[in-house]
Amino acid sequence: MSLVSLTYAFFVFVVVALYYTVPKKYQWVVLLSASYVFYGLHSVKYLGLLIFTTISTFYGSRYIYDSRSNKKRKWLLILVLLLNFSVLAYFKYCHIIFKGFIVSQPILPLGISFYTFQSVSYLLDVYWRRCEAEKNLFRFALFVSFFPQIVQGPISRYQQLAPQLTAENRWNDGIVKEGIFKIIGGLFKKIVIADRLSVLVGSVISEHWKYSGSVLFFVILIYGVQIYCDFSGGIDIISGVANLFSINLTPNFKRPLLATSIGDFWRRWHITLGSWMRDYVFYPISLSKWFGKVNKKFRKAFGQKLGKNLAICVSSLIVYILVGIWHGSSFKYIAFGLWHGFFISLALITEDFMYKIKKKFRLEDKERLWYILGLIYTTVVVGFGRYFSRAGSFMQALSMFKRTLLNFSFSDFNINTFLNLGLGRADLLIAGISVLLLFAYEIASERNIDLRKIFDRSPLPAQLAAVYLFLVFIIFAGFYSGNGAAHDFIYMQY
Amino acid sequence: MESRKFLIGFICVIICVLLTIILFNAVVNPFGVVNTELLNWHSYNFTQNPRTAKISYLDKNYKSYNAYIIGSSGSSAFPVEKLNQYNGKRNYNLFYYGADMMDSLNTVRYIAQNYNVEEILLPISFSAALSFNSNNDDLNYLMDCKVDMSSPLAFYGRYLLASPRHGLEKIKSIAEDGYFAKEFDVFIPESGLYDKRLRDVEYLGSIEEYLANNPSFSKEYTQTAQMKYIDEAIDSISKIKNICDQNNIKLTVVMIPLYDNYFRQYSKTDIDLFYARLGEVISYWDFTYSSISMEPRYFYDPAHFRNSVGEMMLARIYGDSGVYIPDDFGVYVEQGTLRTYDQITEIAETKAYTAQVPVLLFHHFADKGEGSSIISEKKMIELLTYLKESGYTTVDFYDLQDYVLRGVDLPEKPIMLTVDDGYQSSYDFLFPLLKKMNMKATVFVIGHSIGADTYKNTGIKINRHFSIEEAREMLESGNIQIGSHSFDMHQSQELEKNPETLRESMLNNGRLSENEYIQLVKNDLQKFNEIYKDISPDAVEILSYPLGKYDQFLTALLHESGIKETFTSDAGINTLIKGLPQNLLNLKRINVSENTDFSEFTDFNAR
Repeated sequence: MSLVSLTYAFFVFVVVALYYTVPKKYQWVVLLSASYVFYGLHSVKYLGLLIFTTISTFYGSRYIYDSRSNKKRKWLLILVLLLNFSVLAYFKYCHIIFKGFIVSQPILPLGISFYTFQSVSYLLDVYWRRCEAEKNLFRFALFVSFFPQIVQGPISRYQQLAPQLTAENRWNDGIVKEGIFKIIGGLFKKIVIADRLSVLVGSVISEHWKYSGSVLFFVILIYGVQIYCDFSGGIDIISGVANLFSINLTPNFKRPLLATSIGDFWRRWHITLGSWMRDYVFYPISLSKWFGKVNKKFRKAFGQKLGKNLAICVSSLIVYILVGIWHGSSFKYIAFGLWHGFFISLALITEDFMYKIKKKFRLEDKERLWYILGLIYTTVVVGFGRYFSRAGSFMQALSMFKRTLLNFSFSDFNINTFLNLGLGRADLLIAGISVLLLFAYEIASERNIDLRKIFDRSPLPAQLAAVYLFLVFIIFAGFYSGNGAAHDFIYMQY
Repeated sequence: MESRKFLIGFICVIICVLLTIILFNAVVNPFGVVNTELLNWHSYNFTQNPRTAKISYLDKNYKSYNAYIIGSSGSSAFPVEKLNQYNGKRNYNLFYYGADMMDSLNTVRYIAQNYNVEEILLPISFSAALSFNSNNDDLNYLMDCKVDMSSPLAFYGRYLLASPRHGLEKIKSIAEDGYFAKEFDVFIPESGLYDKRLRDVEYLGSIEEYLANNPSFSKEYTQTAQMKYIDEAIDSISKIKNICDQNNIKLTVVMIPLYDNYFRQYSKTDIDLFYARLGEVISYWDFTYSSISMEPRYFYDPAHFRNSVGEMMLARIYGDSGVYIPDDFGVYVEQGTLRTYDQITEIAETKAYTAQVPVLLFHHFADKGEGSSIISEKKMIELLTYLKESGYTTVDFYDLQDYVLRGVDLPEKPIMLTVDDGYQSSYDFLFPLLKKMNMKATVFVIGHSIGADTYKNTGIKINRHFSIEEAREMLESGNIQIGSHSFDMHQSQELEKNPETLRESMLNNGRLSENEYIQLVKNDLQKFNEIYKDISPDAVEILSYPLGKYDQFLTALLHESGIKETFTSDAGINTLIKGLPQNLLNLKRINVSENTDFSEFTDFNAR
């Protein structure tokens, strides 16, 4: 059931209606049942895997929580981690690891990397005694399977989400209204922008050798907009739906296209994956004994400051390689991770140098020129990085990379090139206007101009008329695949 | 409170949005579901869903018809014009792509109850037993609720609340619509047929060429197609028969021809069972497997025979002996007679049904040969003598037409002589020579230059052209046929004053819109025919393209305007196939010049 379909809308409508009519103490049961029905409708076979993760994590955590023996706790933790990650690894990486034995990648179970990461975060929180272990298996099952977010995240934390899931919630006009806005915005991003741009991007990437570097690079930037709209549009719909149950999910995006450094980008893009990596990979590595030794050696070799930074670089690189691997098994994803890790490290190492430059030219962080330079730098670096994630293979990414650098001519950078990419004039116009609208909204938000407040202050009939027109626009300008349904979300495959 | 008001308002907004979609779908009506006069582009609606749109069309126009063809796309190649001549009825081809017997049964029931029906032609095949009541839920396949008696609420709900993309696509297509069928408007509403004007002028060529261009004929069906629904299919046929009997409707059941590889996907057991069950309930014509099934060029693809084959079948059913039909094509099977796999697959040695015909191209004859278009009289005499001695017989348009339409065999070594432009030398030199040697040729004249020795009254001298009287004399002799080389679409680049309107060939030079171009070509043909009526009592049927330039669009345009045979300047030998008149279009020609070596001409017909 696609997030963008009448079936899904109907499903949500029924669940919301049930949710607010049953006695409050059974509300969470409605959510749990709905989640399992939702997952079962997608795949009954893989429901078993979801249940396996739920049970192993639940009982594993309980024993870890109750046990007083550190050794036992540790071994149990490793066991449960191994169990869960091996299931994930089987589906995502086995065809690479056992190349030759297994012919093709099995169909990925819906949301497997999202619910596995979510379960693991809970497991580790319990292990580190940051939270108590859940006593009720079914309540825990809801945390793992909550239907809006299981599709493509965000990766929630137990302490943040679980209490809301099991709370007794009353209908709240304000939150529901927020939810409706999120859903509408998400639809706009997904079916008006992302699915439309995907045609254009797809045409260029599939025959990339035909185009000059300027077109390739422009298109990879467009791809950045596409994937942002695709992923964040989905997340908007998901958290909008969660709002209908008076549940707030952790934000996953904060205007990443306006980031001014690579570090800044990762604090704005797929935030829950980044913070997961920070809390469950980066810090544990940095605080481990092994890493303490590395740190010491580096300081000895490179001096206090540089040595420390280099040590951080090592753990950053590990984190970004993992981020790459999370996206997929192909080598291009590892390259994607390395690319970002490299620029994060670069920023660390050149921190002092940049500080001096800023001081010399008396540039403030908020200075317009500095801000714009940062914006351009980040856009370019992230753009090049996207060659790796969008290309069909690592070699293809390299060849596009090469073309961009060595063959950057504007010879074919004209309207005719873009009219030959599967979108007509009208579609290009709609795409252009929609993207401009989106950027205008995001830039306004970035500058703390609250457009929503302006909207809320206008008279109700005007508000409703605007919503009506916007919805009609979305439905008529929406891009649909052959059978009339919207395209699948890209991040459903991760 | 603010939010509460907004939410209540929002529910109203959602209702308004739904109403907007409903209104849009009803007005634009991309599937022809709503019976409205607005945007009633039937051809488009039929293409999106023939089930809904054809019924919707007939509900309004059923009084114009009294006989129907019912079936799937396998029935699409029965041309109703021919059938009208044979059965004296006004036939409508009510086929739906992808139809199964359930669809056919429902349709027969519906039209018998609601329309005036006197005859039904029911083409079927083994595929009737492959699926039954398959319930394709796609908007392109859904049956009209009036016909299959499903819930009107669900039916109209699905179409009216459908994604607006269907309607937007229709609006977009209006701008892209053209004279001939495009993929979004493949139907002719008035007959229910596919618009095959373009398709039926496409080049077929030799069998090797055709197989290479159409790989589906070489596909091997490795899996046996299981006839799971023989009982249901036969049961439906039997029900259709009952409905027809009750309503006094004459029912003709026809098993349609299949190409060999497609036929072979069925098992012998299934075929025998299907025949046995079918023979129990009804008499039928069987065209399934014959020499026709062995020749891919009689098919568009392995499951779809050509319109020309449809005409052969109708001729067989209605006993028209003037049309070529292979002897083994079409058997009437009386009810109660058993037909088996073994019977039908025993195919007798087929008689030759193809011929290789070379066509030679000349322009002008003079004392001395020059370049590619002037040949010396001496050389011409040598050539004709050579051809005669080598056993060639010259043929003309009528001979070729008799061959492809009526199956009249050509002489053993046929060859066609053609002369472009209509210079005086054709009359002064060639005509007496042909008479003397008792040979035939075809001369293509440019309408405006008949009898002229100056370029379009400009006073600029050109090579003299023979006159109308001389043309008539040649035509009446029977030695020479006169064809068209356009009226004025073969202009001289040097002599035309206005380069803007210069027209060296009949192709669209890109300066005209499609409609203007069509008008131009049709006017040119009309002007030619005005002159031609002083030469021949009939309108012109043969044309050689100026500069030899042509495309599919031009061919189809000329073909539907009455031109039956066209000549290009592409070099090569032509393959003619009995029963397929489209082979007369775009014939290749070998240009003969002073330097041509005759010895190359020995084995033309063997190729």
